[in-house]
Amino acid sequence: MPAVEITTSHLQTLLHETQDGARQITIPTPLGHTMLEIQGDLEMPKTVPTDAPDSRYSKYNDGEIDIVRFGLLNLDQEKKLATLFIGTKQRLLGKIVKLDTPLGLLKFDNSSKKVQLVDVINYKIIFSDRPLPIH
Amino acid sequence: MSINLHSQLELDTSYKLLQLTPDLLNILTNPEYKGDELKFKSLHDNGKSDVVLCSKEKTWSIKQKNHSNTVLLMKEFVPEDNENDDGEDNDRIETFNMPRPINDFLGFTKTTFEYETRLSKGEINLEMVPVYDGEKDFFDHNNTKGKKKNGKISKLQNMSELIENSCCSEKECLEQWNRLGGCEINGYVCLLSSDFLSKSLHVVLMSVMAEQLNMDQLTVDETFNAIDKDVGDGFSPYTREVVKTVLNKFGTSISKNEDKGTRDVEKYRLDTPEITKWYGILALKKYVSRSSMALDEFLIKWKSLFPPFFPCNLDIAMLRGWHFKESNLHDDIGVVDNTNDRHDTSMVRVQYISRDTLSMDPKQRFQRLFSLQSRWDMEDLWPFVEELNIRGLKPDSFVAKFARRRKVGRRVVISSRG
Repeated sequence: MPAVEITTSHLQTLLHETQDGARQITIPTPLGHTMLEIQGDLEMPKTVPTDAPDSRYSKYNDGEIDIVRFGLLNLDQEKKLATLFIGTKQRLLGKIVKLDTPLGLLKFDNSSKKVQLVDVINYKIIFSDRPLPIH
Repeated sequence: MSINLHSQLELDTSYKLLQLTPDLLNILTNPEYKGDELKFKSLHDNGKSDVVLCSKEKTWSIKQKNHSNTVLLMKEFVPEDNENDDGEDNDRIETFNMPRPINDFLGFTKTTFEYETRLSKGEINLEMVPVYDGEKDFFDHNNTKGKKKNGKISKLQNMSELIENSCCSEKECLEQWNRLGGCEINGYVCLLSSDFLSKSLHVVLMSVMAEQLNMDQLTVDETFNAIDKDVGDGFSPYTREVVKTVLNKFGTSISKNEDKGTRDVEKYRLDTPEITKWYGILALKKYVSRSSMALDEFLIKWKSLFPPFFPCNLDIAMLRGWHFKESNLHDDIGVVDNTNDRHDTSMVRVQYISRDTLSMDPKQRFQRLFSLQSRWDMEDLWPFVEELNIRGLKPDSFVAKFARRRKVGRRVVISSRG
């Protein structure tokens, strides 16, 4: 029978530290992860444009991965409010919410048939309203 | 706090989100977690069979909960220096009157679903487990290589293989295995047939009583030795493993927690009500499967099946879910209540009913039950219909959907709607 174990080795210490004492809201998580949810589609370019240089595009992981800067996020952790600017024209108002059930971020490695628990996510930033124009 | 948001053009699809209920979270964040306590299991590798998540003790069903929102998982990162502009990029970013960004997040995966986890009942997988009837040449692997006479092949040589092949936790697997009468014969796992299990139980009880062993503190060894005394040199199917199966099924281990290291001293307390029920079901099948019999006569037949002088109290209520009653009493008196001694057992007749022959359609099953017995006490009826209550309604609410509930004195009587 196919059976796959979930390993947690690399974040064990951290999970422990964060369990003790009063836990504050951390966006991102102590391991640096953030969950962003937008009700609707977020259109993203698939390739780097070749016709004109565009400073929004850059490389990541020693030039292996193409990435694009698509917006600016402003967080008010005290008021649990978030503002997301997409491109130059759209603005979304959102909030930081605690998840009813924490989510485990799992990485499935198909070649080694292993699953690793990468992080535990307790909060997300959710944008559930329509986009507003940027004045 | 302002943050620059970036996204990979090509997102990583190897990440998934799993709901972590408090008990799952506890397991994963336990300092003792060694990396093998939680496992995804599925019966087949084709992606079509259900996947479950198992710990040592529990099982969770996994359901893919799709959504149409954009869920982007991001990680903090430090952007690589852009050779074309001397690190001034940040200064030129439009901030829309917000503070200058001090951080960078990179979207690396987008998820369209979460795995919902729900605590469920894990099921042992008996697909590859043959039934042993006490035959001599069962699984003689020197000759037949794990092949049984009827052609059913067992690929499972031990319990860990069975656990590995079952969509349930180790604890659930062992519990169900013990309850079903699982055994190991000649190095293969198998189930004892109902008939052979009955014979084995009888032999165990006879020997235990003959040797005057303490039924509250039996060990496998002393029980086996008691049986072995009466067996000659020839083949006996009542091996140590069979004795152990009988004790696991009809007894409760009472020393497991005290002394885990030495399994030989594991002691069992025989479960007399469970044994009494087992003999009762045998009696139902043997004496009243085709026609009914007066209850008092049936009780005598039931008693006759036990080894002589076996201490037990017979009560037809023990056989709920295995029989129905015919009553000669006048309707006005109501359903005979067998839970107290007021009724006259000669006025009631009992007959065996096999749950396997009943329809899985609730409406049809209720109809059939009312055709056999027009009025039921709730306690008598419930075992027959419980398995159909898949939505987990309260027993009264579930029964009320298919039948009429009426109070007669202090009792609730269930009858047909028609």
